[in-house]
Amino acid sequence: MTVIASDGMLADSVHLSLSVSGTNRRPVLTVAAN
Amino acid sequence: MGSRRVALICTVLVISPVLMLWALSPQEQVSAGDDWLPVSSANSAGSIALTVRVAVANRAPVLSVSIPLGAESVPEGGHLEYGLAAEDPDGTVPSLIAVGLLKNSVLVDSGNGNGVLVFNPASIKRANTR
Repeated sequence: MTVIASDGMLADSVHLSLSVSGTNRRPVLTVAAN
Repeated sequence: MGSRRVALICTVLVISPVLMLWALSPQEQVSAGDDWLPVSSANSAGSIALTVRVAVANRAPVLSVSIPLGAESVPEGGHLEYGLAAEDPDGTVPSLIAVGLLKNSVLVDSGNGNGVLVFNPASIKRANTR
């Protein structure tokens, strides 16, 4: 997903890479910002 | 809006007794906002007055995401919160939005340039979601 900050005309953004891993019983969500 | 004194370089090209070209350029940094500046000059026929609008260039906001150490991962049923902080060098309050928001997550815009991303991966069923 991408988070965007905007002043109405210009913007900055941060992309968050998300992955889910693990067993079906206990998946784990991992988030990394770039 | 208030007025502000800004030094200007003024170049005048007299084409005819009734037609002149003016080239004006502000010579100092002005802060955010637009100002209307009275400018006066004189030619051989007398004085004239111009109103010059100095528009300040817009600058982009800067966004940062705060991921607490050790809070990069969360198991199913867990809870994550990431802080968001955006600043605009022009002094406006940036708005925050998320594109591709993951299921069971929400972005809360506090309305002051700050916000929070909340993850509650209770029923995520897809792997390797981006």
